[in-house]
Amino acid sequence: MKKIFYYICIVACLVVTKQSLAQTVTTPVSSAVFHQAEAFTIPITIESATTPINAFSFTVTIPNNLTFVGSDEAGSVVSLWIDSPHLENGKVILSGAMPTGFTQLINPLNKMRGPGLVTKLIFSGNDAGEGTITVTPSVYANDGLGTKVASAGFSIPVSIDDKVVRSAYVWQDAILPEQFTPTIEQNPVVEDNAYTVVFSAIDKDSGIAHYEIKEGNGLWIEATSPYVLRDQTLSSTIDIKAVDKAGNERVVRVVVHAVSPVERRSKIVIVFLALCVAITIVVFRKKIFKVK
Amino acid sequence: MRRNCIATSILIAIFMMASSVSVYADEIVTISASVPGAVGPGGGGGGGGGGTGFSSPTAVTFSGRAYPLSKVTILRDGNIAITTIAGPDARFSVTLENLTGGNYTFSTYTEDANGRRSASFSFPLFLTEGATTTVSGIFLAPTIDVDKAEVKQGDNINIFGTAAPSSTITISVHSPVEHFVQTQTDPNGTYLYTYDTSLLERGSHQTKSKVSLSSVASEYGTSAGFTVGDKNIPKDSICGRRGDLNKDCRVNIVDFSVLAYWYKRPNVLEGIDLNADGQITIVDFSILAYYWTG
Repeated sequence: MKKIFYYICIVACLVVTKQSLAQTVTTPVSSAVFHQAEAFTIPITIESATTPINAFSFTVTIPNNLTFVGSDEAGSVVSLWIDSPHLENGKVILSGAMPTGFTQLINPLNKMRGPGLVTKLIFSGNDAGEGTITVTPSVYANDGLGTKVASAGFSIPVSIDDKVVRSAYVWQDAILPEQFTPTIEQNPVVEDNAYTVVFSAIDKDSGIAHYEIKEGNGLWIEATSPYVLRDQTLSSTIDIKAVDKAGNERVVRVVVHAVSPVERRSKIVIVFLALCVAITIVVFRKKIFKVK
Repeated sequence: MRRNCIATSILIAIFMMASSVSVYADEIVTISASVPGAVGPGGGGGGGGGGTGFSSPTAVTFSGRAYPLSKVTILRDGNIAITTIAGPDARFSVTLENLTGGNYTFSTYTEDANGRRSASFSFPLFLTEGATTTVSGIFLAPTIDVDKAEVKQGDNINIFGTAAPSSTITISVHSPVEHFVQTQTDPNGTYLYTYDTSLLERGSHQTKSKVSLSSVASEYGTSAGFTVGDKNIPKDSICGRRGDLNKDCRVNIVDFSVLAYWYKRPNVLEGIDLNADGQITIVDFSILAYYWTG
């Protein structure tokens, strides 16, 4: 009886170990020593050898002697960001989705499989001291139900020494964000059916920092998708600018389909006829009034 | 003690073997790459001359089986990159060019003649600059649908869809007990199975199917749901499936933006909240990502 119990325990341990290793959020960095004012990165990677996953959210707690500078998404496997890495109540929050699912990154040349990069978080050391960066993940299966899958995070010790070495992080990206096609949409569940513009660009070399929009001759203003257009008549030109982390910009103009060419021609004809009537009245006003 | 150790080792070995024989979709898929002009290790490090600036294109070729004359779509990082039409034998091959080296998530799906979509097949790949990558042996799962949203207990429900022609379809009807039935596709790849619901309990059920041909089987595809109840209610439009928030028969960035609009907002409208928990969370985005069509 004892032996059976012993074997059951071993198998149970193996099963638990296998399950806990199935979805892994990790970093290639085991520990780090940096200088004060020095920028450094902590990459976060993800893999799920057995269960395809398609969404995640991470909460990253950081010690007081670190400042969160930003993130670098060069080479990231995440194509849709829900929450780009940002600071919220002293913690770094990030979440995103990978449409149609992700397991492991495959290198077809050497058949190697491994984790895919989510992002590289950029920090800068403040005061000398020890601390720990802890990543707590929530990972969801690509099963159409949003089932949460078991996933262990990680903690890495970080030490900032007494030396001050000022260095800023430089994004290695000279390429513009990829071409993208914004669309004008109308949906009863968004702003009472108001016209909105929907957009999303990809930047493989550093990631999208933000978007800006300009209506007509207005100013560029920072925007998120969906953006409710100020000009609901759709008569202004709409330009969208995608700016990557290195500052490269791609501007695209939205093709407005809401007013059809036939409608536009009709409007032009009406305006033309109105003008003709006005000119006729002005030119022949004496005759018209005399007759009266 | 020694017997204990041997028995433990055997158990561990059996467990490890069992772990490695589980079947995943990509086991039938072959992924390979080659760099034109590259030489193997020890093949000499010559070259360097010329300086013409020529570099071979970075490309990926996808091939496999879909349905006869069906439209096959390749997504690149969630966006439609290219489409092609499968041959009458359901085979397709399509090459995506003008890529640069780096990480990509490619996925492929197909649509049958009635606009029903297969489940997506996903390939996260690291592409080497100048390498030509081949992903072959893709076997897309069947489409599936039912003719009734609700079926009277004991009446028949038709389960149908499309797959590779002249292949075997295994249909699973999920209830507290999972039932399996088999049927064949015709030369056009369509199948129909008339299922007797007297075996099923009242309530919601899901059915899904997979295809096998020449000892190769696909994964199970997407599910179709129906209810066993007191009356027969025919099923209407195939449009507006889960995640299609603007009812345009696609699940893409427009639907994502609708979810993003409601993310963390109170009083979410009915129909937007995909898991019906009263709020838009990462779970809703996960459901949307599963049904993504680009």
